[in-house]
Amino acid sequence: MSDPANITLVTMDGTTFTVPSAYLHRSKLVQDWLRSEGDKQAMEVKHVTPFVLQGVLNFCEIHAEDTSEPLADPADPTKPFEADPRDDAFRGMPDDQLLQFTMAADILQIPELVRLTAQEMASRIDGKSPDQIRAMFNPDDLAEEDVDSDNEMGEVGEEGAISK
Amino acid sequence: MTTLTNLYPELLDNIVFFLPPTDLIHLSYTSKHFHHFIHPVRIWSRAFQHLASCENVPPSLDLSTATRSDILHEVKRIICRERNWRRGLVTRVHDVPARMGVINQLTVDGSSLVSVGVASNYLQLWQLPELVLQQEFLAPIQYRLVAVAVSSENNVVVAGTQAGPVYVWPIGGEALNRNRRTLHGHTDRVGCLEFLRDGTGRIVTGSWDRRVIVWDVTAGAKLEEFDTGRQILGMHLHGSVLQTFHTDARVTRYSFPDLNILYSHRLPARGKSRARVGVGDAGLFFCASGNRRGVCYPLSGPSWEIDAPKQIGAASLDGLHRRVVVLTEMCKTVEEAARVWSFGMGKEGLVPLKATDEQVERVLRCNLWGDIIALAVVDGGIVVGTEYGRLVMLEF
Repeated sequence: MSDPANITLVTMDGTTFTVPSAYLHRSKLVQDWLRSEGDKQAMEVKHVTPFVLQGVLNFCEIHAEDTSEPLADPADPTKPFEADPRDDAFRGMPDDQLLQFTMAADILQIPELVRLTAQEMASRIDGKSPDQIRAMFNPDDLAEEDVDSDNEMGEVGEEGAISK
Repeated sequence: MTTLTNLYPELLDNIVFFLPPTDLIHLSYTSKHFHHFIHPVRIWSRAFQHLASCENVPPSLDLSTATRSDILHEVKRIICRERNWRRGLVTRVHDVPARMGVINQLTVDGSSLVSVGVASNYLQLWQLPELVLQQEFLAPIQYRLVAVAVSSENNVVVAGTQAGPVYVWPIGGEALNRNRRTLHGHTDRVGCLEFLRDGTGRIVTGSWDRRVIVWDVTAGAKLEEFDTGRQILGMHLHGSVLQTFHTDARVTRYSFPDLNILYSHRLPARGKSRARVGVGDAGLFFCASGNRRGVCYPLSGPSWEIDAPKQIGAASLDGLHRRVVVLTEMCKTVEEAARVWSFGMGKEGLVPLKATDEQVERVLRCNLWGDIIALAVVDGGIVVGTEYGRLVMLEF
């Protein structure tokens, strides 16, 4: 039986991180794991690199003391996003790293971090022209296609149910 | 390598959630993948909802009653207008006589536009988008009005004078002397006026007497006073940040209301060229110095610099859509003088206006034989005041 106050996480390449479990109280994945399989030695977090996990744990440590209500949905229109100066580490990060954090946050189910990284990504797209946005992606992935949306806007499929 | 294109949809959805409609359009233009992703009505209705929840934005659509076709129609409208803005394509022009000589300044709030002439003691209130004259306001004859602001929310018009007093008129009331309120405090030209957009009816004024004063308009009381040490040419207050632009081309950013200096620097200027314009909207602040150069300061992130082909005489900006329209001096017609600059377009992004057909061309040229010095960006286009006292609205 592992120490209940600490939790050990193992990444894809076998690197282990041991942190107080209180840090991860916002991660639904970790909480579920503690409830069902908390007696095991270590929790495997496949698909996450050590570097990214370290960053995620740093974020969790910074916010361990936060008492704000947990977010149910990262895209909750009723809760305005407020930038926190403690999260400035995410501001200067390269795009692909930032997206890796978004994915890791999604895997670990930490809505606050998903929201933070998604907002940062959105602010990078914000105010850019289509060409500049295109340059942000891997250019090989994209054939330049000028989509004439005026003609297509009339034919929206059935997936477009209005959320009220 | 992780990029936006191979991110799975649920996560992309989270990112897209934070984008305002204009950026959604830009993203959807980049590839078929994004075009199809952004297509659903659900994303658009959410974007409008998000937009409406941001402060200071009138909802373009009532989402509680809007049907699917309403939303699609609105999307189409935004897309068309955004495209025309980027190309500088004018779709409609109309003009009205203003009967006030050379128009010095235009200010807009929602659907109200106020205009004031050079060396005149009265101002006019217009209703947009059709430019219908609603009311005229008169100050004592010895005072020339140099700056105006309107708040449709509080139903008042305020004007700063050459000599210092600031006048307040209620909209809709009779233009009588007893209806007018005077705010005494400044001792020199009051060139900047701005409403605090928090519904409290407070205004900030900046003057050549180097002071910034916060007033309670309804009570007519001075709330706070602050000496910047330099003559103030332009000023913008947004949330907890106050930005000022001074006659020596210095830009300063203060925290508000405690007024600590956050940063301060001088715009690059050559020789004796002076500061020209300082305007702000929704957190964006645009300053231009005498050597054809303008710098735009967003609340966060790096500033943008633009080089105009000629000296910038006036500027107006739309902070929400992140656009700046500048008027260059010594140009005879609006198409030559007005240039639209949208964020992220770089230095070469100053787009001159284009008129679509002969008729529009003719209207554009009519009555425009001098410099235009007044300009306002309104919802859907720009309004310019011409030297021969006409207000011309160019819609995109």
